[in-house]
Amino acid sequence: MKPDDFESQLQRQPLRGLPKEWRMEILSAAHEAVAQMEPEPGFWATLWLEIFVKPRMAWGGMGAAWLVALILNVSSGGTTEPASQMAQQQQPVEAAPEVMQMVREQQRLRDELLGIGVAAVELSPADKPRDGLKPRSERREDYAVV
Amino acid sequence: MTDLQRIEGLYDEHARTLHAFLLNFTRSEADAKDLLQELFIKLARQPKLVTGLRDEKAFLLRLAHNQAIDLIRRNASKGRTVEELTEASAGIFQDVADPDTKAFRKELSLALGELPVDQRAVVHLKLWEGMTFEEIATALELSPNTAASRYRYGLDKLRARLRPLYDEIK
Repeated sequence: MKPDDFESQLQRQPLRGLPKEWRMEILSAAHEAVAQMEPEPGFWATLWLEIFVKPRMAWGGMGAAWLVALILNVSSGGTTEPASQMAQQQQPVEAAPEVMQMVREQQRLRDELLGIGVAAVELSPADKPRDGLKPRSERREDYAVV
Repeated sequence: MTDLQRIEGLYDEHARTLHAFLLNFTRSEADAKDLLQELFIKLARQPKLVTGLRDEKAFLLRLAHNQAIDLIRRNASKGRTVEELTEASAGIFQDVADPDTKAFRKELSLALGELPVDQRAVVHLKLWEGMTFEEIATALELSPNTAASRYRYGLDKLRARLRPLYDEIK
Protein backbone atom coordinates (compact mmCIF):
# COMPACT_ATOMS: atom_id res chain seq x y z
CA MET A 1 0.00 0.00 0.00
CA LYS A 2 1.51 3.29 -1.10
CA PRO A 3 1.35 5.92 1.63
CA ASP A 4 -0.54 9.10 0.82
CA ASP A 5 0.74 12.59 1.61
CA PHE A 6 -0.72 12.57 5.07
CA GLU A 7 0.91 9.27 5.99
CA SER A 8 4.21 10.48 4.56
CA GLN A 9 3.93 13.64 6.61
CA LEU A 10 3.40 11.56 9.77
CA GLN A 11 6.29 9.26 8.95
CA ARG A 12 8.61 12.24 8.63
CA GLN A 13 8.08 13.20 12.25
CA PRO A 14 11.06 11.72 14.09
CA LEU A 15 10.42 9.92 17.33
CA ARG A 16 12.22 10.81 20.49
CA GLY A 17 15.49 8.95 20.81
CA LEU A 18 16.50 6.37 23.36
CA PRO A 19 18.51 8.02 26.15
CA LYS A 20 22.07 6.69 25.94
CA GLU A 21 22.52 6.46 29.70
CA TRP A 22 19.74 3.91 29.91
CA ARG A 23 21.92 1.25 28.28
CA MET A 24 24.26 1.00 31.23
CA GLU A 25 21.45 1.15 33.79
CA ILE A 26 19.22 -1.42 32.13
CA LEU A 27 21.96 -3.89 31.28
CA SER A 28 23.47 -3.55 34.76
CA ALA A 29 20.07 -4.32 36.25
CA ALA A 30 19.82 -7.36 33.98
CA HIS A 31 23.30 -8.55 35.04
CA GLU A 32 22.42 -8.10 38.71
CA ALA A 33 19.17 -9.97 38.26
CA VAL A 34 21.04 -12.92 36.78
CA ALA A 35 23.68 -12.82 39.55
CA GLN A 36 20.97 -12.89 42.21
CA MET A 37 19.22 -15.82 40.63
CA GLU A 38 19.40 -19.02 42.61
CA PRO A 39 20.91 -21.92 40.66
CA GLU A 40 18.34 -24.16 39.07
CA PRO A 41 17.60 -27.18 41.27
CA GLY A 42 18.53 -30.61 39.96
CA PHE A 43 16.11 -33.31 38.88
CA TRP A 44 15.65 -34.92 42.32
CA ALA A 45 15.33 -31.57 44.04
CA THR A 46 12.74 -30.50 41.49
CA LEU A 47 10.88 -33.76 42.00
CA TRP A 48 10.95 -33.28 45.77
CA LEU A 49 9.68 -29.73 45.41
CA GLU A 50 6.93 -30.74 43.02
CA ILE A 51 5.70 -33.66 45.10
CA PHE A 52 6.12 -32.47 48.67
CA VAL A 53 6.80 -28.77 48.89
CA LYS A 54 4.39 -27.22 46.40
CA PRO A 55 1.31 -29.28 47.44
CA ARG A 56 2.15 -29.01 51.14
CA MET A 57 -1.38 -27.83 51.89
CA ALA A 58 -2.75 -31.02 50.40
CA TRP A 59 -0.29 -33.12 52.41
CA GLY A 60 -1.19 -31.22 55.56
CA GLY A 61 -4.89 -31.79 54.91
CA MET A 62 -4.38 -35.48 54.35
CA GLY A 63 -2.32 -35.76 57.55
CA ALA A 64 -5.04 -33.98 59.49
CA ALA A 65 -7.67 -36.33 58.07
CA TRP A 66 -5.58 -39.34 59.10
CA LEU A 67 -5.19 -37.91 62.59
CA VAL A 68 -8.93 -37.38 62.92
CA ALA A 69 -9.60 -40.93 61.71
CA LEU A 70 -7.08 -42.32 64.20
CA ILE A 71 -8.57 -40.35 67.09
CA LEU A 72 -12.09 -41.51 66.19
CA ASN A 73 -10.89 -45.10 65.95
CA VAL A 74 -9.14 -45.04 69.32
CA SER A 75 -11.99 -43.26 71.06
CA SER A 76 -14.52 -45.81 69.77
CA GLY A 77 -12.48 -48.67 71.31
CA GLY A 78 -11.31 -50.01 68.02
CA THR A 79 -7.95 -51.48 67.33
CA THR A 80 -5.38 -50.48 64.88
CA GLU A 81 -4.02 -54.02 64.40
CA PRO A 82 -4.35 -55.47 60.94
CA ALA A 83 -7.16 -57.94 60.26
CA SER A 84 -4.73 -60.80 59.54
CA GLN A 85 -3.19 -60.49 63.01
CA MET A 86 -6.64 -60.42 64.52
CA ALA A 87 -7.56 -63.62 62.72
CA GLN A 88 -4.40 -65.34 63.95
CA GLN A 89 -5.10 -64.32 67.50
CA GLN A 90 -8.61 -65.71 67.48
CA GLN A 91 -9.03 -68.73 69.87
CA PRO A 92 -10.80 -71.88 68.63
CA VAL A 93 -14.43 -71.94 69.73
CA GLU A 94 -15.91 -74.91 71.58
CA ALA A 95 -18.92 -76.17 69.60
CA ALA A 96 -22.13 -77.26 71.32
CA PRO A 97 -22.60 -81.06 71.81
CA GLU A 98 -25.67 -81.11 69.55
CA VAL A 99 -23.68 -79.54 66.76
CA MET A 100 -20.82 -81.99 67.23
CA GLN A 101 -23.33 -84.88 67.14
CA MET A 102 -24.75 -83.60 63.86
CA VAL A 103 -21.27 -83.21 62.40
CA ARG A 104 -20.40 -86.79 63.35
CA GLU A 105 -23.65 -88.03 61.78
CA GLN A 106 -22.89 -86.14 58.56
CA GLN A 107 -19.40 -87.62 58.47
CA ARG A 108 -20.79 -91.14 58.92
CA LEU A 109 -23.27 -90.68 56.09
CA ARG A 110 -20.57 -89.34 53.83
CA ASP A 111 -18.33 -92.35 54.60
CA GLU A 112 -21.18 -94.75 53.86
CA LEU A 113 -21.89 -93.12 50.52
CA LEU A 114 -18.24 -93.23 49.54
CA GLY A 115 -17.84 -96.77 50.75
CA ILE A 116 -15.15 -95.94 53.20
CA GLY A 117 -14.88 -98.44 56.07
CA VAL A 118 -18.16 -100.12 55.11
CA ALA A 119 -18.27 -103.78 53.87
CA ALA A 120 -19.82 -104.33 50.52
CA VAL A 121 -23.45 -105.26 50.99
CA GLU A 122 -24.94 -108.08 48.94
CA LEU A 123 -27.95 -106.86 47.05
CA SER A 124 -31.18 -108.77 47.63
CA PRO A 125 -33.01 -110.16 44.53
CA ALA A 126 -35.66 -107.49 44.95
CA ASP A 127 -33.01 -104.83 44.63
CA LYS A 128 -31.50 -106.34 41.49
CA PRO A 129 -32.64 -104.77 38.25
CA ARG A 130 -35.36 -106.82 36.58
CA ASP A 131 -34.77 -108.06 33.07
CA GLY A 132 -37.00 -106.64 30.39
CA LEU A 133 -37.54 -103.43 32.16
CA LYS A 134 -35.99 -100.45 30.60
CA PRO A 135 -35.22 -97.26 32.31
CA ARG A 136 -38.31 -95.18 32.87
CA SER A 137 -37.21 -92.58 30.45
CA GLU A 138 -37.32 -95.08 27.58
CA ARG A 139 -40.85 -96.43 28.23
CA ARG A 140 -43.55 -95.74 25.74
CA GLU A 141 -46.97 -95.13 26.99
CA ASP A 142 -49.93 -95.26 24.66
CA TYR A 143 -52.99 -93.30 25.44
CA ALA A 144 -56.42 -93.67 23.86
CA VAL A 145 -58.78 -90.79 23.74
CA VAL A 146 -62.31 -91.96 24.60
CA MET B 1 28.80 -15.73 22.90
CA THR B 2 27.47 -15.78 26.48
CA ASP B 3 23.85 -15.18 27.32
CA LEU B 4 24.59 -11.74 28.68
CA GLN B 5 26.50 -10.75 25.55
CA ARG B 6 23.50 -11.88 23.56
CA ILE B 7 21.23 -9.72 25.71
CA GLU B 8 23.50 -6.74 25.11
CA GLY B 9 23.36 -7.41 21.38
CA LEU B 10 19.57 -7.51 21.52
CA TYR B 11 19.54 -4.23 23.42
CA ASP B 12 21.78 -2.51 20.87
CA GLU B 13 19.68 -3.80 18.02
CA HIS B 14 16.13 -3.38 19.30
CA ALA B 15 16.04 -1.06 22.33
CA ARG B 16 15.33 2.05 20.23
CA THR B 17 12.31 0.40 18.60
CA LEU B 18 11.05 -0.95 21.92
CA HIS B 19 11.53 2.38 23.66
CA ALA B 20 9.57 4.30 21.02
CA PHE B 21 6.80 1.70 21.06
CA LEU B 22 6.58 1.68 24.85
CA LEU B 23 6.68 5.45 25.05
CA ASN B 24 3.84 5.75 22.56
CA PHE B 25 1.93 3.15 24.53
CA THR B 26 2.52 4.39 28.07
CA ARG B 27 3.04 8.12 27.42
CA SER B 28 5.52 8.20 30.26
CA GLU B 29 9.31 8.13 30.05
CA ALA B 30 9.53 6.58 33.50
CA ASP B 31 7.04 3.81 32.66
CA ALA B 32 8.73 3.17 29.32
CA LYS B 33 12.07 2.84 31.05
CA ASP B 34 10.67 0.54 33.74
CA LEU B 35 9.06 -1.69 31.16
CA LEU B 36 12.19 -1.78 29.01
CA GLN B 37 14.27 -2.72 32.03
CA GLU B 38 11.73 -5.33 33.09
CA LEU B 39 11.84 -6.81 29.61
CA PHE B 40 15.63 -7.12 29.50
CA ILE B 41 15.75 -8.54 33.01
CA LYS B 42 13.27 -11.16 31.90
CA LEU B 43 15.42 -11.98 28.89
CA ALA B 44 18.56 -12.16 31.02
CA ARG B 45 16.87 -14.54 33.45
CA GLN B 46 15.38 -16.68 30.71
CA PRO B 47 17.85 -16.57 27.83
CA LYS B 48 16.12 -19.57 26.24
CA LEU B 49 13.25 -17.25 25.32
CA VAL B 50 15.29 -15.75 22.50
CA THR B 51 17.02 -18.91 21.36
CA GLY B 52 16.25 -19.94 17.80
CA LEU B 53 13.81 -17.12 17.12
CA ARG B 54 12.84 -16.51 13.52
CA ASP B 55 11.88 -12.88 14.09
CA GLU B 56 13.50 -11.31 17.14
CA LYS B 57 11.96 -7.91 16.59
CA ALA B 58 8.41 -9.28 16.41
CA PHE B 59 9.00 -11.38 19.53
CA LEU B 60 10.41 -8.48 21.53
CA LEU B 61 7.61 -6.19 20.42
CA ARG B 62 5.10 -8.80 21.54
CA LEU B 63 6.73 -8.99 24.98
CA ALA B 64 6.77 -5.20 25.20
CA HIS B 65 3.14 -5.00 24.09
CA ASN B 66 2.04 -7.52 26.71
CA GLN B 67 3.96 -5.69 29.42
CA ALA B 68 2.44 -2.37 28.37
CA ILE B 69 -1.06 -3.86 28.44
CA ASP B 70 -0.36 -5.22 31.94
CA LEU B 71 0.81 -1.79 33.05
CA ILE B 72 -2.31 -0.11 31.66
CA ARG B 73 -4.45 -2.64 33.56
CA ARG B 74 -2.51 -2.05 36.75
CA ASN B 75 -2.90 1.70 36.32
CA ALA B 76 -6.61 1.26 35.64
CA SER B 77 -6.95 -0.73 38.85
CA LYS B 78 -5.29 2.19 40.65
CA GLY B 79 -7.86 4.52 39.13
CA ARG B 80 -5.60 6.08 36.50
CA THR B 81 -7.36 6.06 33.16
CA VAL B 82 -5.72 6.09 29.75
CA GLU B 83 -7.14 9.58 29.22
CA GLU B 84 -5.48 10.87 32.38
CA LEU B 85 -2.23 9.32 31.32
CA THR B 86 -2.58 10.90 27.90
CA GLU B 87 -3.16 14.32 29.37
CA ALA B 88 0.00 14.05 31.43
CA SER B 89 1.83 12.47 28.56
CA ALA B 90 5.35 13.02 27.50
CA GLY B 91 5.70 14.02 23.86
CA ILE B 92 6.85 11.11 21.79
CA PHE B 93 8.50 13.21 19.07
CA GLN B 94 11.80 15.01 19.00
CA ASP B 95 11.78 18.66 19.95
CA VAL B 96 12.02 21.13 17.13
CA ALA B 97 12.51 24.89 16.88
CA ASP B 98 10.04 25.60 14.07
CA PRO B 99 6.76 26.65 15.73
CA ASP B 100 4.46 25.15 13.06
CA THR B 101 6.20 21.82 13.13
CA LYS B 102 6.32 21.94 16.90
CA ALA B 103 2.57 22.57 17.06
CA PHE B 104 1.90 19.78 14.57
CA ARG B 105 4.01 17.30 16.53
CA LYS B 106 2.30 18.25 19.75
CA GLU B 107 -1.14 17.77 18.22
CA LEU B 108 -0.05 14.53 16.60
CA SER B 109 1.25 13.26 19.92
CA LEU B 110 -2.06 14.13 21.60
CA ALA B 111 -4.09 12.65 18.76
CA LEU B 112 -2.14 9.42 18.96
CA GLY B 113 -2.75 9.35 22.68
CA GLU B 114 -6.48 9.59 22.05
CA LEU B 115 -6.51 6.50 19.84
CA PRO B 116 -7.49 3.22 21.46
CA VAL B 117 -4.32 1.39 22.42
CA ASP B 118 -4.82 -1.43 19.93
CA GLN B 119 -5.12 1.05 17.05
CA ARG B 120 -2.25 3.13 18.38
CA ALA B 121 0.06 0.13 18.48
CA VAL B 122 -0.67 -0.77 14.86
CA VAL B 123 -0.39 2.83 13.63
CA HIS B 124 2.92 3.21 15.44
CA LEU B 125 4.46 0.05 14.04
CA LYS B 126 3.22 0.78 10.53
CA LEU B 127 4.21 4.43 10.33
CA TRP B 128 7.37 4.65 12.41
CA GLU B 129 8.78 1.15 12.20
CA GLY B 130 7.80 0.58 8.60
CA MET B 131 6.48 -2.90 9.35
CA THR B 132 4.11 -4.72 7.03
CA PHE B 133 0.68 -5.82 8.23
CA GLU B 134 1.94 -9.40 8.30
CA GLU B 135 4.84 -8.41 10.56
CA ILE B 136 2.56 -6.35 12.78
CA ALA B 137 0.11 -9.24 12.95
CA THR B 138 2.91 -11.57 14.05
CA ALA B 139 4.16 -9.15 16.67
CA LEU B 140 0.77 -8.34 18.17
CA GLU B 141 -0.78 -11.78 17.66
CA LEU B 142 -3.51 -10.54 15.31
CA SER B 143 -4.66 -11.48 11.87
CA PRO B 144 -3.19 -9.30 9.10
CA ASN B 145 -6.73 -8.17 8.20
CA THR B 146 -7.35 -7.01 11.76
CA ALA B 147 -4.05 -5.16 11.74
CA ALA B 148 -4.96 -3.48 8.44
CA SER B 149 -8.42 -2.47 9.62
CA ARG B 150 -7.09 -1.09 12.90
CA TYR B 151 -4.55 0.90 10.93
CA ARG B 152 -7.21 2.36 8.65
CA TYR B 153 -9.49 3.29 11.55
CA GLY B 154 -6.61 4.86 13.44
CA LEU B 155 -5.33 6.77 10.45
CA ASP B 156 -8.80 8.09 9.63
CA LYS B 157 -9.13 9.42 13.16
CA LEU B 158 -5.73 11.09 12.98
CA ARG B 159 -6.59 12.56 9.61
CA ALA B 160 -9.87 13.98 10.87
CA ARG B 161 -8.24 15.37 13.96
CA LEU B 162 -5.16 16.87 12.29
CA ARG B 163 -6.54 17.96 8.93
CA PRO B 164 -6.82 21.69 9.71
CA LEU B 165 -3.29 21.85 11.07
CA TYR B 166 -1.95 19.64 8.31
CA ASP B 167 -3.52 21.80 5.59
CA GLU B 168 -2.02 24.84 7.25
CA ILE B 169 1.56 23.58 7.30
CA LYS B 170 1.41 21.70 3.98
